[in-house]
Amino acid sequence: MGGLAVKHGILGILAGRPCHGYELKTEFDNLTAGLWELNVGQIYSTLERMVKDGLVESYADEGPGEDRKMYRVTQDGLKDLETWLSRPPLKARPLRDELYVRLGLLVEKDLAATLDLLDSQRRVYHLQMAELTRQKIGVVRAHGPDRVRREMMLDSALFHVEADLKWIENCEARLRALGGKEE
Amino acid sequence: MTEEIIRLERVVKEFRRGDTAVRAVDGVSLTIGRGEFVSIMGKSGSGKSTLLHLMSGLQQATQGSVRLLGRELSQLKDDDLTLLRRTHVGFIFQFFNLLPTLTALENVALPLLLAKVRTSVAEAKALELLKTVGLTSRAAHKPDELSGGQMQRVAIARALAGDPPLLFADEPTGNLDSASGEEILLLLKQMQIDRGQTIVMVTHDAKAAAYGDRLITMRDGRVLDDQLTGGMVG
Amino acid sequence: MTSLYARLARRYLAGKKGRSLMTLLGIALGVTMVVAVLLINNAILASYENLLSAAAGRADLQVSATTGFGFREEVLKAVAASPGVAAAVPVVRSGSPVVAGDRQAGATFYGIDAEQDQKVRDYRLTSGRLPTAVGETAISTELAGNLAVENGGKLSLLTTKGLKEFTVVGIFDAAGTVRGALGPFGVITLPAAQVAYGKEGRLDLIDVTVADGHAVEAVRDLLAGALDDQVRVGTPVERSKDMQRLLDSVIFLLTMAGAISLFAGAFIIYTNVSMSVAERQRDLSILRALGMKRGEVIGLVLTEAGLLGLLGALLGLVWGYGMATFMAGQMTDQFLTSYGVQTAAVTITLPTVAVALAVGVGAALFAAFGPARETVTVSPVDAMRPGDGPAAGAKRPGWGRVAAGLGLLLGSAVVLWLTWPDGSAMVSPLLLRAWGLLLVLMLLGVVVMLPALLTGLTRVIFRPFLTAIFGITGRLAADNLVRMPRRTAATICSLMVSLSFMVAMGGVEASQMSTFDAWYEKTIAWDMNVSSSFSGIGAQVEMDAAFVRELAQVEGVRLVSPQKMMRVIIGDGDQAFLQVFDFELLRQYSETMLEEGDWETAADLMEQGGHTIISPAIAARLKVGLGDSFTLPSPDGPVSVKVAAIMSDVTPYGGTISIDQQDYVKNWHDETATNVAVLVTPGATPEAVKERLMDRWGESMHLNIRLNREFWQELRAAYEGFYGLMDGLVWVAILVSGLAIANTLLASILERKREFGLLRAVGSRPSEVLRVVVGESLSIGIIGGLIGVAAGLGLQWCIGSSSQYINGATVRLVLDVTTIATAVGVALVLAPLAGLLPARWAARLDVVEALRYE
Repeated sequence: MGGLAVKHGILGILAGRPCHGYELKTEFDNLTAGLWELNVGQIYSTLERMVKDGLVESYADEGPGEDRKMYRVTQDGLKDLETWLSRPPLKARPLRDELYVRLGLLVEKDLAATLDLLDSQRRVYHLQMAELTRQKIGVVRAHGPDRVRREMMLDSALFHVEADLKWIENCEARLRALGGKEE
Repeated sequence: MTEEIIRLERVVKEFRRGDTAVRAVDGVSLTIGRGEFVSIMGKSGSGKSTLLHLMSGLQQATQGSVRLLGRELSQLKDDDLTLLRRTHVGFIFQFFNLLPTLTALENVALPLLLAKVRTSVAEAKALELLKTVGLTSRAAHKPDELSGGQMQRVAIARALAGDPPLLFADEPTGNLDSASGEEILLLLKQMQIDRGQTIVMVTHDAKAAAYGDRLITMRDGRVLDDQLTGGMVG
Repeated sequence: MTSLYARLARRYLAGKKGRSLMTLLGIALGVTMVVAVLLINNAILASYENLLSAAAGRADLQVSATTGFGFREEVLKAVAASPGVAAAVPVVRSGSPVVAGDRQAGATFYGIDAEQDQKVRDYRLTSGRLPTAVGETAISTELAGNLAVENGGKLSLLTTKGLKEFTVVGIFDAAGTVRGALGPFGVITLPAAQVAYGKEGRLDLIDVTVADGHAVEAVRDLLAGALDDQVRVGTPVERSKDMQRLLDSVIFLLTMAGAISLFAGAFIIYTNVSMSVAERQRDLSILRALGMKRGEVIGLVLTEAGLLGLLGALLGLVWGYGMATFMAGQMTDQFLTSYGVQTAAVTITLPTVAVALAVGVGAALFAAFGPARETVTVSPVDAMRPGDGPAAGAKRPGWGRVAAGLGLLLGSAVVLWLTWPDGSAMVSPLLLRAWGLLLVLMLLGVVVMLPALLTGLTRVIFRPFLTAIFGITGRLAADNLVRMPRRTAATICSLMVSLSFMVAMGGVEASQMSTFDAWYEKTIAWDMNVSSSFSGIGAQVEMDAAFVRELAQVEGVRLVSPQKMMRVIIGDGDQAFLQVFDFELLRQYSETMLEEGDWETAADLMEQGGHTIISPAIAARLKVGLGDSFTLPSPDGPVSVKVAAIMSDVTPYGGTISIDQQDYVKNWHDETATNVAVLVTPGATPEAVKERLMDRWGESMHLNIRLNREFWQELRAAYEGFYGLMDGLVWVAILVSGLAIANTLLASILERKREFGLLRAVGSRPSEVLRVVVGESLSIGIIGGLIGVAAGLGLQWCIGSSSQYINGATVRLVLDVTTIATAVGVALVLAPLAGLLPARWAARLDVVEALRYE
């Protein structure tokens, strides 16, 4: 999943200006305010596929440096990007989380262990939230031109973590009501 | 840890409700150092507000010791406690609690005026603080002419008027929409970062709590969790 | 629905016992005064009318003397001969002390013609018969009981020549004899009475029955036309109006006190209701949200107020009855006995109950309506939201109200000025009541104006003043003052009204006392006053001239000056007080305090005869001035007298006329004296002389001797009795307004609990919070005191200077520093003191508790 989004993300970035392969990683990270980190291998394999499909073409840069290979978008590529952006809304996000599986296995067998699991998970979420908030504070204080985009991305993450936290609280309350002993 | 500002040792607070005694705070021990931004979270009835009241000297503990800036609160008389509050502690409340007959400027200057600071000096200081919270243009307005967020900013300015080393905030965003709430939290964070202000904030909102760099989670009058949630941001 | 109201109302009232009690007391106090006024007026008039009609028996008309000392016997023939007259029954009457063995009693004695008299009065004899010869008497069972005498026993009656013995020849049942209460009663023969009371050849009264087929009115007009000025003709009960003027001044003061108490009571209701409404704004809004209509919410609040009003009215009814009984007793003792009224029975009638309930409930509903309506002007949603206290600038009273208040004030002042007596007429009872209404309107004007005035005053005076003294706490106190301008104004009004009442009453009292003292100092210069049965303004039984001459012979007596005091009916048909002095003697030891004219010249003129000295009330009633003449009724016909001077008068009997003894003796043919002024020779002490006189005549003449100082104390005591009661009322009113202040402050603190919590949280010490509240109450005290003292002085001036046109008493106005100082003290001390309790509460508030939102 997400292959299409990565492909079109790269097309979009290249539509702005031609880039080196390694520049594309930072640009993509920036785009989603670091919420979606790609590895370099993933970028190059995607680029290769796109060159093959004729959406992107590569050429040699004239400046000095090790990697002279630059990428730019083709007419076909631009058309493809446009169709993608104007596609109907996305389907609801599928909910998959490793936690669900762990919880599912524990809940009817070991209440105490379940509560411990939820407890430690909550700490993780709080930490994540604090980290996201810190980033957001950084964004706000930096007053950069990309502030709106970045804040939106961070907010999305914050709301998701908040939802996770609320869900954990709700689970805890449920389990306690079942007669789970304190701590 | 840096200089210690608050130290609680096995603090208990009981309230009588009818014939039964309810333990709102049940044996809490913790310390808070200078420059920390501590969030206290918990559901309603978890004892988080009471803990704040005990730390700030608004209420006296039933058992245990509360030391604020090195002074044992249980040994202070009401007047001395008041004086301590006036000079060392700032408060921000959920419902702002501005005096409706005073202008924004006068509300900010209030603690200084109560401390018998000359009016001109107090108002100059208040104006400077209003500038810090971005409300210079509203100095002459009465509270009923301000929005919720603006009122809370005035309240923050007021809390800072006496340059208190310690700021207590009790659900400061509880009565605000999320945008205004973020502004207020950011303002608090700025106070911590730029002025080294120690802040203790009670909230039931995880997103608000995330502005702190230490999170204390309360449940049933006890500290369920006390975690450091981050380093300093520069 | 109604039962739901009642249940909700009852629960709330029971939950707020203190406040409900205070409201109750406020209403009760006002109703008490109203009820007392009604009851006492009715009781006294009714007792007098009852007495008159009882004594008159079946008589349709009465011919009575205007001269003060009977009329010539010949009138009887003229009356009897008049067409339409079935019976003309002669009477000589007197109130007399009676002695039997070691028992004494006061009784009304009639000299009658036994045969004639039974045509108007039935004597249901239980034993014996009616007297037919001099030396015989028949008495009522009540008097017989008082004296413990039986038929055939002896009793002594006081006469102008001392105690004379009579044999009881009959005892009759008074209840079967006369309608209503006459009190202890006895009869002797007409000739015996004429001798006993120095009225040889005269009568006091002719009871007339009208023959069948003749209209009473016609006979009355015929008689009035046929008879001369020494008598007047009327129905028995008509004579009761003689007493109205005397009652008026008392009733006026009481009415004022009633109006003022009711005002204060209404303010308390207002503050209490607006407080309870503010407190329950959310509860009431929940009821609204649950589907209660606006009208029904108002109904709920009004039900509560009405319930309290009802209870207060009932309590006031009981208290009013007690007060009226007490006052009626006092008034009877002081001056009603001279009218023959022994007791004034206070009875509660249905109309009184109705008025009391209407006033109590009406005042409660009236005061509650405003706050009740406010409950529904706020939308339920707003009210249910936890909000801050009352906003700073909410509902600023507009200039329209100032204009309205000013209009009321000025309008009333203009009306007062237009109707003010110009010295040529007395104030009619109707006008007097209208003035009472004006007073209320003027108060209302101040009340309407005050909220706006308060806002201005606070901005201009209190804010800078309090800020300068107390800093920011003072400033907050001043601002709080105008947070709820109407409620604060209501509190100020209740303080103002009580204080103005206090200042006015104190001022009138002081003025009257100082006038009285000055008058006494100058006028009453004798060493002792001798009479045989002194009561109120004069003797009931005179002393004859021979006795007076004997008095002069006693060792140590330098001078005796017989005097005569009586009530006459003058030209305008009303009563006046006639004094007879021998001015040649009088000027040797005394001086009449004059308003107009010069004493030496006047005394010279009086000695010449044909002159008179009158009080300003008489001048106003008869429209005469210095040098003018008017006529007095005498048994010899009208006597013309010329005004030699106008004197100060301290009696409340509607005006006084002094004439010289020579004129009196010449025209009235009467040489008896009601009392004798005695001066002692140098070297003799009045005490010793008094003792000598008592040794010789104490028993036989039933002598009553007052030394100068004793008389002064006696008169002072009478004034003080009356003003003591007034003072009591004043202090109750003050207390109530003190409670009102505490109440208002408590209300405003309850509403602003969170603000005080905040002040404490940001570093106000309890003492500083205390200061905010006390500063607020001090300001209330200052405004209330200022306006109260000013209004009180105005009121004092009105009462004082209109007094001589109301009851004839001259009052020389003095500024009563003591009362003013007390009033200022009350304002500056009581108000902060009243604030102290709520202030302490505010200062001790638990900060967290105060800041909490439910």
